[in-house]
Amino acid sequence: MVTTIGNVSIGHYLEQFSKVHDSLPGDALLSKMRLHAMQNFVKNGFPDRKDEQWKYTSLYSLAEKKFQIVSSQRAVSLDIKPLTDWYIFLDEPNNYQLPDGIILHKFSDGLQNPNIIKYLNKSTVTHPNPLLDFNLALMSQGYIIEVNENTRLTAPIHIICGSSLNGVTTNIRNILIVKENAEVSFIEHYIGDNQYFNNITTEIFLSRNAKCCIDSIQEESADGYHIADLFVNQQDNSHFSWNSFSFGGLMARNYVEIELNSGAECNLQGISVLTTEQHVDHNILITHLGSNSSSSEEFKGVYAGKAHGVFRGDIRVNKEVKNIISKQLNKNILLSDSAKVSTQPRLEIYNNDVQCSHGATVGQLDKETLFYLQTRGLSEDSARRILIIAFVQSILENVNSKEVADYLELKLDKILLDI
Amino acid sequence: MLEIKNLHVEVKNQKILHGIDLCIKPGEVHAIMGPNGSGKSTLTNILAGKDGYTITNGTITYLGEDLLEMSIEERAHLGIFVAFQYPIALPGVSNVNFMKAAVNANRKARDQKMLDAMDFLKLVKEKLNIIKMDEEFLYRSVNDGFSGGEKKRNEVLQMALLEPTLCILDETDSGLDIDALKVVANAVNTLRDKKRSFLVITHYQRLLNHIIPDHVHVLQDGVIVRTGDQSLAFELDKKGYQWLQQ
Repeated sequence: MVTTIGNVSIGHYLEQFSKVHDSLPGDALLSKMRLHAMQNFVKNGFPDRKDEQWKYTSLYSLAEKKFQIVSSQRAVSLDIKPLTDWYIFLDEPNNYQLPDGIILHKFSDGLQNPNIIKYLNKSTVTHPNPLLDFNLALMSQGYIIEVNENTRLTAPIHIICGSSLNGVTTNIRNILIVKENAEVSFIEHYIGDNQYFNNITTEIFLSRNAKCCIDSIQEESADGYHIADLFVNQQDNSHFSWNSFSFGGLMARNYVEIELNSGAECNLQGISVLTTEQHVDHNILITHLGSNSSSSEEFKGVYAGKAHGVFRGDIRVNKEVKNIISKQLNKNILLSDSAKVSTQPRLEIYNNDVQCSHGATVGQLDKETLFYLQTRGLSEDSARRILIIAFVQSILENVNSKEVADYLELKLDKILLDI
Repeated sequence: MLEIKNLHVEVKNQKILHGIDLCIKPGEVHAIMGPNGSGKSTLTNILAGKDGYTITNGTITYLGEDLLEMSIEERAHLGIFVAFQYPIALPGVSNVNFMKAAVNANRKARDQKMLDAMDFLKLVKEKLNIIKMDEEFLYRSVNDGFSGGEKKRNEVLQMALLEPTLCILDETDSGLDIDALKVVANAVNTLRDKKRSFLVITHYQRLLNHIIPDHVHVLQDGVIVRTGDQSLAFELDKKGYQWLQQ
């Protein structure tokens, strides 16, 4: 790969890396891994649009900026309140009150712990991404959580990543290990102010019969860059659900790669609502490695102003496996002439014992329907808001906790006032 | 209350209405009958404020104000309500939330106190009796998967809640069996009073057996060709619209 973008900033990041390298957490082996990863990043540069995976998402504006590398962002000046009794602020490594069976490792300790290190960077990466190397080289913050066998949570844990420092990049590495028969749910929350670049890699390992649900709320600053890669390895009969709510960021990219072993199930859903010159990209690859596994994806986008929504869904079913169910759906509403959507559902199926469906739609709010609501005395704006909420309702109904549902309702009301 | 004078309307350069005159006073029930393509739906849509129609001549005043200058929702706030022939389904919008939003939008515009969830629920439960539906009806998505009869009842429920001064019933009898027709007609009759007027638009006379009109107008090819009382409806039913063309 020969990069065409970011030649200016790559030198800058290399220089910064050499300054901070010795102070980054981890042992000598990890230090070597970091160095090697940085060399890879320098060699390959930022991915550009010639790469099929980045066809609709340009990193040009990101690569032209020189962000300062910092070890941690700051949530302190932001107005954020935890939604549940159990919570973690990523920028403050405190002794948080967490339920039994949940082990939160201090980031620097986790990277020295052989039980954690054996999971680090062990996810299958089908499409190499230079920003994963960037993350490995510079990771300095993140949650490292182990969930003991048979742990059952009665409420979700709220993990808050607030960003308020201007002109900085933070490399966040999250590792979540859920052991057999455990059932947990998390609210992952990115929120911020100012211009910054959060480069996030999350690795999740679900053991047999484990259940894990993540409601991910992304309301980064309107000037912020949010590049997030999520890798999930699901052992037999495990269950994973991920609800992605994208409202913020100048650019938000979510790359998700999931491996399903026998009997494993994943349900991925998302709502993106963008109102200004923002960009959101959901790029998802699900690989059915084992028989009797099932996956479903339903992503809905509402785009106003000059917003651009991208969806790419890839489902792979291997030759030897049987009895696979897979559904994929992407629906979009454009609220302005300058908003746009690029959608690309794909199936790669190498056998017959599969029930697969996929589809994508792009439309506008129906004029007849708006008229009907207005004849009942509702203003055009209220009518539009009602129809947008109705459009995303099927996903809101599947949210994990009441706290998140209430939060999203208020958030959507607020965003839709600007539409 | 409503005064239509010499109304001429075109759709995509095609003349649909050629000079309609109609005057409705408070408390009156007027029926407009006419065959397909006579301009009945156009008249309804013009009154409701729908896009896509060009008024080439004439005026409509409502309660002394120029109706044609008003937005769709302003007409609703002023008391105009249309019960549609084909009510739109709103999947994902519960009936109760939709109606509460509509009632409060009108109350706000009319400088009345907005209703909270409790007060609204009390109000809507009273009105449910009028259309003989149970509470479960409120929690379904608006008109989504409703039978023809349920859709029409839902229109009448909205009518009861929004307390309009002029109710336009656009072919409310279409697609209704005789039992549903009776429920809907009885519901309309309970809403009749000295101040509230009705404009009943229909193909057939049978609805007018239940909602007795004060005046009957026959619309053909975009003009009112005959005006009379209920007996005109009976005569039309017997002789057909051809009779008036002779």
